Amino acid sequence: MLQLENVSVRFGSQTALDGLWHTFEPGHIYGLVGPNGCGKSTLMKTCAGLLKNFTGNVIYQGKHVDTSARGRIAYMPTHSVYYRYMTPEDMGSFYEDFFPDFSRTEYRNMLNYFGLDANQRLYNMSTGMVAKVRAAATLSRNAGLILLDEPLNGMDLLGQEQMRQILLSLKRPDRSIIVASHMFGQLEAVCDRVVMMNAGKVILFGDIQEMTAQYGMSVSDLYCHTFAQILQAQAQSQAMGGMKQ
Amino acid sequence: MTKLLKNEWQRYRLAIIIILSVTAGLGLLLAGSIMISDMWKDNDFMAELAGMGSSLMILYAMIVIPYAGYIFPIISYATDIGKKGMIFLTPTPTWKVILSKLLFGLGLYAVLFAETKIIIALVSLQAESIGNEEVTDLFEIMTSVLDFSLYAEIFSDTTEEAMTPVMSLIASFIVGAVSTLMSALQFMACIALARYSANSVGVQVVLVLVFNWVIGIIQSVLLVLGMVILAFIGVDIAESVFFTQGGITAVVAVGGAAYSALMYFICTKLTDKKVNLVS
Repeated sequence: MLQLENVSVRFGSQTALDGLWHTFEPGHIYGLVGPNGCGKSTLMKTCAGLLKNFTGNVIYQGKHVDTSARGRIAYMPTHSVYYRYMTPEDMGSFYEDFFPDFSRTEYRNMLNYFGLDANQRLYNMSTGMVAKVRAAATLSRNAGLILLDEPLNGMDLLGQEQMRQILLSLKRPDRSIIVASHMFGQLEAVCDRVVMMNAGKVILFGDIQEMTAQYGMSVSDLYCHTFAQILQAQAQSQAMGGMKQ
Repeated sequence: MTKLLKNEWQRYRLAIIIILSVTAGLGLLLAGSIMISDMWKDNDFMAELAGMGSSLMILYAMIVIPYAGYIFPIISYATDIGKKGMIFLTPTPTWKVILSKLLFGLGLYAVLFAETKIIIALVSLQAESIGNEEVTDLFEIMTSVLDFSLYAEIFSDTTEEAMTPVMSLIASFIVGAVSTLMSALQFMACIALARYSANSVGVQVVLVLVFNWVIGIIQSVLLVLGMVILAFIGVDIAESVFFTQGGITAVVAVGGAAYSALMYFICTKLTDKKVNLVS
C-alpha cells in the first residue's frame, strides 16, 4: 500500500503538488490523469523516491520512501534516461546489477514479445522501440509497486495493445500499478481505478465501473467534461476580474 | 561499488582501451626512434624521424597521461548530472555514485602510471644497451617528461637524504593520485554548482570556468596568507615543514585529502539537489 499524506512539492514559486492525500491500494491498476502540468510526473517521481524536496509523508509498505525504496518500486520515466550506447542486452545486465528484483528471463521474453533485437544499440532505435525497451526493463522487475509515466508515448498501435496485455498479466493482489497517461482512452479498459488531478491536487478518484455507472459516461468523457467545466469557470473568473479592473 | 565501477568501465572501455593501446604504441615508437637514430647516425631524415617520434610521445605524455585520470570522472559526472542518467534511477545513493567515478579515475591513473613506468624501464634498458651519447641525451629528455614524478625529484633535492627509487616512485604516485582526486573533485563541484545555478548550457560552461578560476584565486590567497602567518609567528617554513624528510608528501596528502573531502561534500549535496529538480 502506498500512502501519500499531505504531500507538497514546490519548485521556486511554482507549486507542483499541493497538500495531496491519497492511498493506492494493492490489487489495482490505477489510471492517473490530468491536464499538462497538473503534477502527475512530479507525483510519480515523488512516489519513486526520486524527489527529496517534498513536505508531508510518502509511505510504501510501512516505510518512508527514500533512495533505497527505488529498489522496491519499479518506475518508468516519461523520457529515456538510458545510456544510448547500450543495447537492450546491456540494459538487462545493468538492471540485473542494480535491481535485485529484476528477472533477466522475463526481460528477454518481453523483448521477444515486442519483437526487439536485443543486440541493437539504443541510438539506432526509434522512439517507439526505445519506449518498448524501457517498458520491458521496468516491467521485468518483481516489484510490489509499478509506476509508469506515459508508457504508450511513441508506441505503435500493436505496441500499445501489447502493453495493455502485459499490464493485465501483471495485475496481482499484492501489487499496485499506477499509469499516468494522456492517452487514457487507450488504457481505460486496463485500469480499474482512476485518480484525476488538477493543479497539484486530487480532484476526483474512484472505481472506474462505479464512476461510469454513476456519471453515465466513460472516464475519458468524464475527464473532458470535467476539465471543460474547469476551463470555462477559469475563463469566467478572468473575465470578471477584467471587468472589475 | 564493484557494480558501479563495472558500469563506468562499460561506458568508457573503448576510449580507455584506445588510450592504453596508444600509450603502448608510442612506447614502441619511442624505442624505434632510439634504434633508428643509432642505426643511421649520419642520416638527417632519420634523425628528424626519431625527433618526431620523441616529440609525439612528449606531447601525448604531457596531455593524456596526467589528465586522463580526472577527465574521465568529470565527463562521466557531467553527462550523468546533465541528463539525469539512469544511474540515478537505481537505489544507489548519490555519494556512492560520485565515489565510484573518482575511484574509476584513480584506477585509470594507476594503470597509466604503471604502464608509463614500465615503458620507461624497458626503453631505459634499450638506451643503456646501445650506449650512444646522442641516444642517451634524447632519452634523458624523454624521461624528464615521461617520468611525471617531478615531485619525487623535488623531494630528493630538498630532503636531507635522497629518497630511494622505490620511495620516490611511491611518493610520486601518491602526490599524483591526490592531485588527480583534488582536480577532479574541484571541477565536479564547479559543474554541480553551475548546473544548480543556471539552466542554459552556455551559461553553465562559463560558470564552471569562472568558479574554477575563483577557487584557484582563493587557494593562492590562502596559501600566501598561511605563509605570512607562519612567518609572522616566527616559524621558518623552509626548515620546519618543507625540508623535513617526507614533509611535502605529508602536507600534500593531508591537505589534499581535507580539500578533496570538502569538495566531495559540496559536490554530493549539490548533485542531490540538482537531481531532485524536475526540469
